[in-house]
Amino acid sequence: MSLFKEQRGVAEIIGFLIVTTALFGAVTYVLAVKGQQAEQQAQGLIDVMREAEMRQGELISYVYTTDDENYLKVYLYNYGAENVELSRVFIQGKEAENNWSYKDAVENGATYNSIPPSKLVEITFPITSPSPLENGFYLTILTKHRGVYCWWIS
Amino acid sequence: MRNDERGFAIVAAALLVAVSIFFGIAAAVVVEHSHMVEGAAHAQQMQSIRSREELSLWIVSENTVEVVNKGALPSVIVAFLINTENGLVVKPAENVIPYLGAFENKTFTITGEGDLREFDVGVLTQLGNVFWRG
Repeated sequence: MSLFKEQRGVAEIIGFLIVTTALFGAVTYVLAVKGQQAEQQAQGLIDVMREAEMRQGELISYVYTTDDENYLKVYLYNYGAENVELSRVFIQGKEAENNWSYKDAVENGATYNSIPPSKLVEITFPITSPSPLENGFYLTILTKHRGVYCWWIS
Repeated sequence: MRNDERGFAIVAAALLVAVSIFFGIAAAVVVEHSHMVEGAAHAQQMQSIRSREELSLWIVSENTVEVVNKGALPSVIVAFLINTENGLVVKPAENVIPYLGAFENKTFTITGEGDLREFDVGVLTQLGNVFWRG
């Protein structure tokens, strides 16, 4: 009789362990898979929002353009709080070669890798004759954070 | 504690952990969204202030420029722009603090560029506006 009682107790413990393991396994699986998916989706959303936030902080204004036979010099001022890095520049629809530098127009000699906040920079683009300034042109700028700026220059 | 109670406690604890994780992720998204909205509001505010800035300038003598702030908001001059025969010359203000309160006027001295009356002269402000003489 006592042996039977002991056997019943063992069976209950084994049953409890099986149910607990199954439940724990299922919950762990759901947490691992769905949790990871949710985290990835949330991270994607956060990345998009951070990019938008950075883009909103990119505020540049067009100041002036001069030209000579070989070069077009464009002056841009960053009145925002973020560094602005240009990714692509189009002069009258034609993409300019991506080897420009940002020269400080106020402090002679200083150069940057991007346009720092509160800085007026001179950017030089090689051109072929005739200068696009003769008839006017659209200057289109795409920034690293996907901001788009377009000015008619004449 | 009975076995079924133990099982229930384990599942409840696991669910609590799961709910905490999901709420944590949602909270991170909400915080980031509020930053984005704040950034958008700041950018719009900046554009609104920018559009209200209004300066006028004229050449008083060979090397002095008078700038008048016609707007109701203060302005800070970053640099003077002089369109010379050799291209654009950018000069910071030399003799006075380049701050103009609302409806205030100041005279600035610009030396080394010859007679300013012969060139187009402009000012660049901290808000990114450019105003040319005339």
